[in-house]
Amino acid sequence: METVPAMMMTQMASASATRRPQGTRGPVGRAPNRVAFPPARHGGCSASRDLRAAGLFSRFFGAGDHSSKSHEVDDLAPARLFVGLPIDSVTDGAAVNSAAAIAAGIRAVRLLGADGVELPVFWSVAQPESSDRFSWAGYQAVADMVRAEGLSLRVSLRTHGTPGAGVPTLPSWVSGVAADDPDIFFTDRSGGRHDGCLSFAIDDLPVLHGKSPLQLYEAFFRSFAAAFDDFFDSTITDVTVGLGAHGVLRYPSYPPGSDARKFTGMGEFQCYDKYMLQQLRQHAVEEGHAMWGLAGPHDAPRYHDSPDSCGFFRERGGSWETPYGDFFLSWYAGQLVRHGDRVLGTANAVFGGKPVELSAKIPFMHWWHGARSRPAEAAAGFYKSNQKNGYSPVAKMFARHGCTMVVPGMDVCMNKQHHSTGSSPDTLLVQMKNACRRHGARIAGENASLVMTHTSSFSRIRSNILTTELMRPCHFTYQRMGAEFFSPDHFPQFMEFVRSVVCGEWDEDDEERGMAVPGNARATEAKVA
Amino acid sequence: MSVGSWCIRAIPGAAPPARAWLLGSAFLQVSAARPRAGRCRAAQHGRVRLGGRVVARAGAAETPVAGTDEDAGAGFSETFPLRRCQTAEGKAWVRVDAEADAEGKCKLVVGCNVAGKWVLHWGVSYDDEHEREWDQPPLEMRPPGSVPIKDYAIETPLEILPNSEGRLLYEVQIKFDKDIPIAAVNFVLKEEETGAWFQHKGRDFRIPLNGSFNGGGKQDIDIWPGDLGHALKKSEGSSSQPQNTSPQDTGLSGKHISGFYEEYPILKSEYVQNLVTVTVRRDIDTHKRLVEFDTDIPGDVVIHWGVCKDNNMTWEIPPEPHPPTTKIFRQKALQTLLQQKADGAGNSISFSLDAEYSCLFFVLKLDEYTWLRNLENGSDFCVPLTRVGQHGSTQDPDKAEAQKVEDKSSQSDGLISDIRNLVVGLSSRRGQKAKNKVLQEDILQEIERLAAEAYSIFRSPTIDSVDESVHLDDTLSAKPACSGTGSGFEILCQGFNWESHKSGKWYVELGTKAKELSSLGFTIVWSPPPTDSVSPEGYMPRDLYNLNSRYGSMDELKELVKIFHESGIKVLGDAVLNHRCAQFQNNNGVWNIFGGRMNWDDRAVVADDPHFQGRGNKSSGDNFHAAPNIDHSQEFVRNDLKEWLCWMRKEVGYDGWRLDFVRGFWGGYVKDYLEASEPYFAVGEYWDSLSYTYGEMDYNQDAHRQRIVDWINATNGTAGAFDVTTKGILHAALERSEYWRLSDEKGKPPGVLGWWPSRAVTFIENHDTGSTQGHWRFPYGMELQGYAYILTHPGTPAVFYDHIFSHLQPEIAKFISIRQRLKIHCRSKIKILKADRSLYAAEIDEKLTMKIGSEHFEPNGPQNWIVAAEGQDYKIWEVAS
Repeated sequence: METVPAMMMTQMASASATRRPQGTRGPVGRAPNRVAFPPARHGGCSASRDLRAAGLFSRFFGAGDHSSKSHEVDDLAPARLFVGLPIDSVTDGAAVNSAAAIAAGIRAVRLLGADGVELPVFWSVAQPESSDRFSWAGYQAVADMVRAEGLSLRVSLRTHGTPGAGVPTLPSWVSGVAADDPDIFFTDRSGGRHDGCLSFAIDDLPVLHGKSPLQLYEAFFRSFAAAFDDFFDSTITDVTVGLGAHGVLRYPSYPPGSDARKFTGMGEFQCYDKYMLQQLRQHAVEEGHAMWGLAGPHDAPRYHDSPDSCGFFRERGGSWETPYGDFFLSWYAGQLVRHGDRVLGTANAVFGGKPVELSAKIPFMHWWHGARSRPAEAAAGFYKSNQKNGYSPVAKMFARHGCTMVVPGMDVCMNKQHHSTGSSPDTLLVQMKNACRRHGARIAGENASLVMTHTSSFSRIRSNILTTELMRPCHFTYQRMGAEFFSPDHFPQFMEFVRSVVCGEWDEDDEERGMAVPGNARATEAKVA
Repeated sequence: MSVGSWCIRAIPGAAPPARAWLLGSAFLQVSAARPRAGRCRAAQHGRVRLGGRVVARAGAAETPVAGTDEDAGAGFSETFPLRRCQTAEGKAWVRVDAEADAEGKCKLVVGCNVAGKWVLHWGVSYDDEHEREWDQPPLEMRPPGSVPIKDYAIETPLEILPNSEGRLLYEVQIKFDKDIPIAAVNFVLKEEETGAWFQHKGRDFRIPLNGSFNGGGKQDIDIWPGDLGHALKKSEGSSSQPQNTSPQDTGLSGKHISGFYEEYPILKSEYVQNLVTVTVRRDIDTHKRLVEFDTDIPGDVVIHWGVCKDNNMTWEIPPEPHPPTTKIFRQKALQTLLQQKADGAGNSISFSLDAEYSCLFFVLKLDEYTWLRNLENGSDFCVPLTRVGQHGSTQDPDKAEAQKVEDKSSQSDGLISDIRNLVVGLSSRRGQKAKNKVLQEDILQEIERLAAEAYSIFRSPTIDSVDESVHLDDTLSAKPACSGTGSGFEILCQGFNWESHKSGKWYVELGTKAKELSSLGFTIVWSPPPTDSVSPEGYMPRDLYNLNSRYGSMDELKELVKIFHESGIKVLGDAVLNHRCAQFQNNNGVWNIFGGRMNWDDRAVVADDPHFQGRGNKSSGDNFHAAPNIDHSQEFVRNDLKEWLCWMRKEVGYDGWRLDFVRGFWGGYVKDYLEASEPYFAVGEYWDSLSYTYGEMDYNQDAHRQRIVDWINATNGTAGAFDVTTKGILHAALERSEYWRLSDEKGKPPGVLGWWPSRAVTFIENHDTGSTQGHWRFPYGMELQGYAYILTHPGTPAVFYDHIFSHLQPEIAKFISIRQRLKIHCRSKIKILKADRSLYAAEIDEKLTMKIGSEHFEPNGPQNWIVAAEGQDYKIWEVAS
């Protein structure tokens, strides 16, 4: 392997180089085992657009190789690298918080050679007061900064807030409805409610001031698309649709009010609001087991139980293996997929004509993955019925919408944590990839958390996104900017990481010779390799 | 050519190929992006030093010639110009012959042994204090052939002296008298052909002729740190051990010249133009192509080459047999060593290729780090093998188009584009690893700087608006007996500048302005130090009871105070209590015995000031080194000073004090003095440096303002202090558009003003920072933003004389009248509405909203805001009544 540092430097600076040093413009293959160049944009972009947007010469490579609607898995496309902007970049709709820091951060990221940044866009921030008015000024200001730096922007449209992030979970005029009808929120067996997390069962019910959540989501998407219309050709390359709390397609199976990102217990089923129960009842009747629809499983786990301490998920002879178990879990998981299907369908109707890549995030619940019943995943809504891949239905649904599956666990290492909980990030990732591969969905990555203590997580990310496997992530987003991100404890290591990803790795010997390899020799090499 | 010796040097500016703008502009930007701090005076005259530039032509350079040679079968030949960098290494030396020659003259010899047309560009400095000054040397010092350059330098060509080894030496001798009143000779070497300047570590060479240095190599030459990457000299290698002759003390009184010898390695580089000609012929019998390379570059030349089929631009290796002396380079390309031509004037080779190939790509490799590529487009050479009547280059029209587009887009943002150009410029010259490393460092440093900036902001919770407004005033339980803060509505005018003493009748002149100042709204005027003083400005007081000064007589001063009082303006006296110049010498000849009514002896001088042999106690603060620091711990001193202050209150009529250099003694003594003299208003000058990290002003200046607040505390709040912190932060905020600095981590003003507004005397300029001294001048052209800030904010604002009587007056008057109309006072409540990159906005007392910075801002809320003042990057609104 060799790399040409001069090239590398140009990329590092994201410099809009005035030209490629070599004379060729033809498609250049890449050695599959490294990311040789910052990749082309997706989304039907043209070379001229790339030029305008960033001018980064290496983006000529493969530009226009694939359109946003291509459902093929392009195994040669290297991962585009994004960095997440602070979750509370905008909290009042009109102004950017710590704008100077965000501007500096964006520029730093650009100099590092990343392709873009990710911006969480919250419904609660954009439409805070009433259903009549959206306020986009703050987000537009951030998008302007990104455009000014010539970076790509991946927006994560979050219909559900992230509890504890300083951002309201829902617009106040929506959550106000809960005073009269608390059952619009997910509810656990003991009646605990997830404030701000709308039950999937009300998706189509006009319970929010006469509108259904789906109608409101669509209005949110449409307003965004209209407000950012002139960014779609230049800056916004990806739209990630939030399908649940934290922007993740899952049931909030964690305890209400807790930090979902830190919860690694089994979790509880969230089907106890009256709308969910009603649908369960109806489903049971249709299946001819009316009795099964009266409530959730009687032996369902408590949040922090271990699988063997509850009857439902017991390894041997647990209820999950019984016909009732299959009935319940299939319904429960099916509700999740149908919710995702509905929201993605709405998003597709809005963004279908735009040159953007659609994606959505699923949870990376690697704990208890060793248990046969996969209890944590089942409680979150991913059920492997009949020994099938639990992610298969979701992948199939994603593929149908041309939606990329964002897997937020590229940094999670085996043997690092959660020994006792049967954690198995490797097999989980393989499963997700297999599901996507079978159904033709693309995959993208995120990290679960800032890599603060274990730098081995960086090499884990690197190997995950530079993998030679067919299912290479098409983009990777490092989450996320903030004080810790830029702290001396973290940032230098992150810099090393990005450089190694953007520039590829080379040994000292190769560096010397590689530098001397001029021009098209590299192309040749890539071809040979 | 060693990697380590590489530095940015030559500009390929002279007649580069059309597209070489890339290199040229990039390199120019390198220099432009790095202005050197502290330029010598000469540089201010516009002398710009850049790398040398030359293109020496070693062959008849032609633009590519393409022609068909019908006789040899269908074939053609193409000649490409090449440019390579050639370097010559050698040394320069400087020698000072301290021994007078027959004519009684000493000699300074500067020489070097690298071929070229050398000129010594030099000047002298007469004064050791101002080491950057260049002056022309006296006529008798100028060697024959010298040419004066402007009024500050001389250029003298170096003479050629063949030395014993037959190598050319260049030297120039400057003769001078031993007792010449010249502190140093400054010079740089210039090579006229390349136009290159050779400096010493990026600075001028400086050879001191002054006797205060005693021998000892390195001390004799000014060694400045840093800037190696841009020095036009090789970094100091192991060969540069200074070889000093022993110092020769001539024993002449007052001054001696030390002998001196030092060598410096120098590296001259220039571009040489060569050619490579590729001739392709078709062999009629075999249908193979016969390719011939011919170049005039001497030494080993390797072609690194490959071929392609069907114009697909993909490198391939042709099947064997390869030409002799060919190596396969990692299965990707061939490297063929050219054969030396018989006449030694270059290299050539010929070999044949199968007809199936459409193109041959190549680059030339001279050594591990030197690759020669197509000058026209910076890429690999490409020779079509199947060409029939097809001329021209490999230029791709699409690419040229793309290039144009990018041209435009790259005009934006300064630093990044500099870096970018640096990158592009360098990357097009491959194989310069060292340079790339340097560059990489630059970018990494920039990234780190940005990260640090982001970190400092993210780390501190940004609060856009703070509701509660806690003032230290409220937390201080004990109100001092005498507040020294006036009414709280005071607006101060500094009634003099650094030049005011010059007329000799400043008191009279200032008196004529009393009415005007009063009508502008000032309530207090700060008058200059009134006492007998060693320095005309009054800050080196001697006899404190003698109030006749350069500003006028005591009677005129009394009259001035009377005039101001009649206009309703209080007058502050400038009291210099930290130090006092002595009238008499002690037995050792040290000036530390005082006369006049306060006839102190050396017990009144602090013991730890080495210059004045005080017998008092150790200083309770920092020392001011130019005069004896008074030991305030001595009771007799304190009693005398209290008596003096009371006398001034009574005799002159002063209403209060501006206390000079209060860093020099404990604030507790100030409390004593103020309690004794009971001023209406008092303010101390506690000026020390803000916190910086790696040259960047820190966001958090709490330590700095804490020191000031500590001092105010020590005075028990009897005096206020100049808010140096606010001034410093305003500098950074305005100058660099970093308005986020104007809100501290708690969302309050970041200066003393944010902590103890009633004791903060805000200012943007005074006689030291501005005026003709300019020690710390407020960002030029941004004064009104500064005043829009301090005149709307809590604290007691002070306006500098020079600003009042300038074009700024109408706006300042407007600000003051707004302040008075809205009754904003030193304890007004402030709510910061916004502090980000290009906007600071605050609401004061819910009556006034102001913004500074370029960004648009409109106040909102239930009140009806109307614009009260507006100008370049500032706007003030008041609530409509």
